[in-house]
Amino acid sequence: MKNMKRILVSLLLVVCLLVVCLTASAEAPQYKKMKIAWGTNTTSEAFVKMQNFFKDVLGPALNVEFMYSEALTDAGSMISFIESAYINGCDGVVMDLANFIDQGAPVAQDFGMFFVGISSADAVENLELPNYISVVGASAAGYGESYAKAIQSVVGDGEEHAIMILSGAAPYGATSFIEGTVGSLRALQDVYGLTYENDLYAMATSSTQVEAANDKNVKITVVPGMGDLTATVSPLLQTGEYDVIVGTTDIYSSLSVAVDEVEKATGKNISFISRNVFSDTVSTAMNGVDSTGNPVVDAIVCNGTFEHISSVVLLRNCFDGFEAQMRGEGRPSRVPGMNPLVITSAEEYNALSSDDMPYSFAAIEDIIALTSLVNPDVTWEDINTYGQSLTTENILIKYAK
Amino acid sequence: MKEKLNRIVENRWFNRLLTPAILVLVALFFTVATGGRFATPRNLQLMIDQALIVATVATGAVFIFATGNVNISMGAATALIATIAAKAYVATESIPLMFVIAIVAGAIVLAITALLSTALHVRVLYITVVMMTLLSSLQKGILGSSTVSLPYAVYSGMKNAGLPYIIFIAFFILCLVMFHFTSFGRKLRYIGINDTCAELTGFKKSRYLFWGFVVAGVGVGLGAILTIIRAGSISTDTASSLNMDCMLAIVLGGMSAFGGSRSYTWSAILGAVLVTVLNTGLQMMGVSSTIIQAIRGIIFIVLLVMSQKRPNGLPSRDG
Repeated sequence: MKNMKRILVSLLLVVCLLVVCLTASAEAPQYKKMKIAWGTNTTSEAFVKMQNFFKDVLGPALNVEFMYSEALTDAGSMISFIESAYINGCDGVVMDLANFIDQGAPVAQDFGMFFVGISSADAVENLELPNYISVVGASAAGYGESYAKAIQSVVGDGEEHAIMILSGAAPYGATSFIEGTVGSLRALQDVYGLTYENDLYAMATSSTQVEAANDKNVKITVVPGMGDLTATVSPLLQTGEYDVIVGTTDIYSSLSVAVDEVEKATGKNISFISRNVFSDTVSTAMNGVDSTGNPVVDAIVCNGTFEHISSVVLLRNCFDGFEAQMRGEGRPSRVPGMNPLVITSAEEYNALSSDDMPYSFAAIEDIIALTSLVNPDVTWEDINTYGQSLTTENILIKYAK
Repeated sequence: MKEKLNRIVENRWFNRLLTPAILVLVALFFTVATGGRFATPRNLQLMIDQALIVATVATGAVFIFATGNVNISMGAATALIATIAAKAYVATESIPLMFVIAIVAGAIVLAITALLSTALHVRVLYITVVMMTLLSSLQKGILGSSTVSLPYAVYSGMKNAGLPYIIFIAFFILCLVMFHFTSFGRKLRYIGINDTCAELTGFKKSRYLFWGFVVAGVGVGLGAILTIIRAGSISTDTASSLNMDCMLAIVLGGMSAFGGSRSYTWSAILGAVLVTVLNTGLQMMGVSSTIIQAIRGIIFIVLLVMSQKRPNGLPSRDG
């Protein structure tokens, strides 16, 4: 009798397990195993975070294995990596080496691998190659829009301000820096209703410091450079003229001490807008108060990471036979997706950087829904639309507790 | 027993055959470990393609290393020459002119390095440190943060025509003959054994060093062309690891770090292929890129320590 009971319980357990397995397989499709080679130009903390997400969440969910490069620096090392990817049986390549993606695509094509490049600029060469699937990554215009929002949050108070814009690598042709600077200048144009005497792009790409002369006599100075900002910018800050400083790069790390010293010396608040990623340092700054009783950092423009997800989904769908829907018409699709996030308060920052937030704010169910095996009608435009819906406001609403 | 072992280690043929034997063993190991995937014809061709630039530049560099000197500006020189040659192509759309400019400019740049060292009586190593910075600055001055690219049809056409193999084989045969079958190569090796003794015997060190650098310069020029053909694009990061790769290839290929009698032109190609074989094989076995870098570094240090003993023999007529 006792044995009978045991057998019955065991049978029941087996049936339950079968039911669970069948239900699960009905929800998530059986993806065929694929391998993606990921070429990167950096192995920073953010890259390690992405690797962990791929290893623990995205890879198992979409049945994708990843192979990563060391930090690639030039076209030669990129080509060697793509060749190694082929030798190692990869089915697709994602290349995060903006300047060289057009050179990487034909190499992947020769080996029959699908290719996705990450860049803020669109593809210009080798567009006809059928395996050159897409270029993903926030567009230069997206950077401009994000900077415009950040500036408006600081100077839109109706007060008169003197603004210094640090254009970073814009004089060297770096598109996100150029658009960040131009977006900032445009936002000031809108806020003050002013007209500049010179061309916006000429000012943004100037390799020397320029005054953005305008009919309303608002003091706006554009300062280029990526090197030792403390040496070049501190003397300007010490004049006490400027009360808003905008950086198209991470200026918080290099200039926070200099700004603090000037604030203490003059007793005047200097508003700070910087380009950053989520980190402990930025968290302290966003939640901190300076010597004048104002936030240490007033707004940050934070690079999105949706490009990491979109490139994997695009390649997954191509591998499953839906490449026609993932490529544009006769050329690689352009999937800018998520614009850089604009965070203007400590509350927003804390909510967005919370441990409960999914990577890139995209729930895994949403990602699975973007795969062609689940939704055969999905196109690259749907992936792009989903990415664009990931704005600060939408994310906060979606994940509100 | 120890004496017997020393005799074996010092034996000319032992030194010549050690690296090829290691290469064959390593390749066999990876072939077995990967179930034969490692040794498919396509993979072998890719590995040779990857090794070609390093092999070309390093073959030329043997003419410097044989004299017991080290040139650490080869990467910077290759990057600068590649930039100049690519710019020349973009301006003129002439491939022959691009070739001529690369070879001549390579020879001139390295000849200047040799002249600076011999005229100013400064050790080659110190001059090449300065040259590395200078050449790199020049390249940055020319390029800024932009890149110079050739049309895909042009560089892929040269690649598909097998030009990289032709360039390498022609240069290798030239170097092989000059280094092993002429008095010029023998004298370079003699300088590597004992430069004072070589001077006293009547070999003018500065003259041989100059011509050694010129040959290495031709290698740099050809390496620059191969870089253009392979990548199609030149940036300020081009050839950034070439210098280290060349030194690694030469030492890994069985050449003494002191040059002298244990200097061989084939060290460069053997070493370059061995580095690629190690990289590819380890990758295929699932070893991460970070660990591969560490393994490469450890092997280099071990071989450097092993080759610290200055070779005893004198350069012979049979190479």
